Amino acid sequence: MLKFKELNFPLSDNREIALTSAPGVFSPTGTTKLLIEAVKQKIVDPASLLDLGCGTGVVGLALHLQGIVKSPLCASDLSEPAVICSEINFKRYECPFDVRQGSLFEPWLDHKFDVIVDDISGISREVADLSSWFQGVPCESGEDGTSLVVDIIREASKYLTGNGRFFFPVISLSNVDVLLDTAKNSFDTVEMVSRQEWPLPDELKQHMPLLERLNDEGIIKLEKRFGLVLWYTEIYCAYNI
Amino acid sequence: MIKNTEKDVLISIEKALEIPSGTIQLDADAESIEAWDSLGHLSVLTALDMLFEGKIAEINELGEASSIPKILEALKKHSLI
Repeated sequence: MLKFKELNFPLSDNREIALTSAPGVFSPTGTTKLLIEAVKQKIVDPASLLDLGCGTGVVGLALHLQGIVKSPLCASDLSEPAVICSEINFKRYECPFDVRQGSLFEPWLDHKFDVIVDDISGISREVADLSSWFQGVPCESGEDGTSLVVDIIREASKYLTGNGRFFFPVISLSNVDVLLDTAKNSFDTVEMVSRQEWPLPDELKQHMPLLERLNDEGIIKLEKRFGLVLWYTEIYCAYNI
Repeated sequence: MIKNTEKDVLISIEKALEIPSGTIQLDADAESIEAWDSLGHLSVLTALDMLFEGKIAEINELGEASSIPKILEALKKHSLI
């Protein structure tokens, strides 16, 4: 029996989306908000859309509310609780949907989409172990945080229509060079749409020796400015000409 | 070189936090301004770094300077205002 909880997710236009979530369902983050804004910046006409790794369904839902999703909104997640919560949230906002449970693109083998948004972002396993972001949610991205995301990037173009666009985040608590190299090898064009820096949360600051080692090894990228330790998210849009 | 003034600093901070001009007083602190959370503070410092043409990135005490008086004190200490 799922123990549901309610949360409100703020959008950039001073609106909020009311979401049902549950243990084992990833909670939307600042990266989620950046991803939504990046798609809104680039996609103006209604498009067939896949919200990959949908969690609560917040990304697809926000874009549906923006009027840029052709019905039905397609979404999928490995987690059954995520699928259940997404269905609840889509119904709440009267958003026609097709939600499936499965790993990466497995539920969509015969489909192509105009837009794929992927809010699955790995971080270095050692950093994930220290943080509260993935409490109860699988984060099997490997030592450098890339193993799940590179698979997605490599496969994404097979599920895009001719003019399709693939939006994905790159987080500097993973090996960003590996991710971007994979993207550039998989798509003709990979362009950064937005970037946001974040101060390192207190729960991670106490582990600076470990983080500095990971930084020195190139597994993560941290910057020091104003006496703060900073990491960043970049949102990319990839497509083939 | 013309130095920036305390007023220039307040204007930059208000713009960084996206709050109306004239909102912030010289004695304001982060707790009294909703937008001035940890991310807001980074936006403030980034905006001030642009105002001072890259000269404040190495001023470590600014990371913890969560009030206008503390920010101004750090800037004065480094002869920036």
